[in-house]
Amino acid sequence: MAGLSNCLRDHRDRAGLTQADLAEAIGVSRKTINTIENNVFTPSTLLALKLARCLGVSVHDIFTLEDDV
Amino acid sequence: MTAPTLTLIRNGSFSLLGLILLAYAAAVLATGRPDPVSPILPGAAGILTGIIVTLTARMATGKAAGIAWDELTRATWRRALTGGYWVAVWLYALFGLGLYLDLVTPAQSFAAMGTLTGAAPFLIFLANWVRGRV
Repeated sequence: MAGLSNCLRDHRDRAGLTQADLAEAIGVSRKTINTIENNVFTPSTLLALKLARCLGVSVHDIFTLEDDV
Repeated sequence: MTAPTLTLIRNGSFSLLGLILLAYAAAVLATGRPDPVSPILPGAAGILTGIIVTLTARMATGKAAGIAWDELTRATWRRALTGGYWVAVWLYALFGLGLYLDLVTPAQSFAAMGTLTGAAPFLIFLANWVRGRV
């Protein structure tokens, strides 16, 4: 089964945001951002969309099926 | 009240409740009595924890409460409840064996299993929270 990988950290760095900034902007804890970046936690579609909107990219830019890499 | 404060209060309350329930079960097994201290204590501690967590969340802004109980926290809690279910199943097996071998009485089993089953989700939640696991 394909796993999910993400490059949230790259997009966040590019946007010049800290984990705390991004967490505050979308209304979650910093720990949530950290666990997503470390592939410990897979966010819901709703949270993925919020992240993408906040970073000005599409969900597909952040999250990728490992088969596609 | 900020989200980190709410998180601290919640985790502190869960820790205290888990330890009270665990200590009660240990005291039951150590003393051989189903009521080593007042049997009202475990239930009262659970209800008090619920009141504290609910009231503090209501006193905070909606955003702070939302952050303190965000998606990761809810997922961690759901996982802890699942773990708690399996702890309960294993406790039945374990105490069933204890009863069969006359190591514990039915009254002791009732008191210990009830409090251990109650403690499990809170302690699993905290363990996963501290380790950063879901």
